[in-house]
Amino acid sequence: MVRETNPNFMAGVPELVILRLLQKREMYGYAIVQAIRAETGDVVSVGEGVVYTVLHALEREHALKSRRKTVEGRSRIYYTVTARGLQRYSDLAKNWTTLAGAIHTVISGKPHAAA
Amino acid sequence: MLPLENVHERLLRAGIKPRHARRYVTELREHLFDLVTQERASGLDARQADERARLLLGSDAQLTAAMLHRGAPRTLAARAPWAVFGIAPLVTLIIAMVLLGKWSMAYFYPYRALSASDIPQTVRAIGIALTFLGSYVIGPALAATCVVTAWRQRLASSWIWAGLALLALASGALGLRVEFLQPQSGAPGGIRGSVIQSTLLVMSIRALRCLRCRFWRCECSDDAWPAKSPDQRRQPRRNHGAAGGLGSAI
Repeated sequence: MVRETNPNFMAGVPELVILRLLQKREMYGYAIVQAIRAETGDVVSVGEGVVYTVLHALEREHALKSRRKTVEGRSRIYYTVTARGLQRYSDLAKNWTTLAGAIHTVISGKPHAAA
Repeated sequence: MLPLENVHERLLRAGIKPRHARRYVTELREHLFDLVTQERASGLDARQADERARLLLGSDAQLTAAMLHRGAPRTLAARAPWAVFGIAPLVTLIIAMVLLGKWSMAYFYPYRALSASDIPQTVRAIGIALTFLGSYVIGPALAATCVVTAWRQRLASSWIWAGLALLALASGALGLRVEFLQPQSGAPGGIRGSVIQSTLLVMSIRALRCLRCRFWRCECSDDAWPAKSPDQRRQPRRNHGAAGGLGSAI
């Protein structure tokens, strides 16, 4: 059975997760997809082919950089996060934390504390 | 046919830069290979593993749409074919001719007073090479560049044909020509250079200059159609400057 993705709710999530994972080590596309599944317990599932469009878009924004590397006889494109990527991750994480807090407040029924 | 070749073709036809389309498809192929290996390891036979991997990766339409949706960079030729195929080759041709003409004037200037037989062989060879380059190489090279660009990007714009037609006309009208003149009927030899080869174009430029003079009441130094005596018509036009003749119109 093909894994279902949730594109509407996923806006911004692939970037966030990819930037987080690439802070730990450089990875290639297939490894990134596997790592996302493993780290999120299959809750977040990025489309197998779609991951490259996200990676390329991040690279165009200079949030990632890539290099071709041969490991165990296979030549692949590895991605690493840049300083701008770290900043982008920080912004995205902040937005998602705020959003998750707001949703949690709605779900728990407690009124939002005034700033 | 290689796997995912359809995705590559669709992206090129959508105007995505060939480099980006190629890289995307290369990475997808590598990913597909990894998926097949993974499925084989889980116990599926080769055919089942291929089908399952292809299903996981996504259909050609999905993979193409994902790339287009993300705003992958499009080529300038896809965004503005009128500029790439209509204007750029013409401008390049004119600039190339002007630069070659200027360089020729500077190079041949020291030999301006010599007759053809006194000009060193190397200089004559350079003159012939420049004539060949200016008349037969630059125009066709620009046309070939346009065709290769259009083919690489799978473009089907009518601007390609319009641009090639314009380029053909311009190449016919412009072309560097260096001639070494032998002394004749008392006239000394020399070097004659021209950039504009079309009589129609020369006459048009002269007519425009005269029109400008009529409207702005300036001094017209050049008659549009100067009357020539039969003797003048018979005699080749001589210009003892390094590059002059019809080239002076530019």
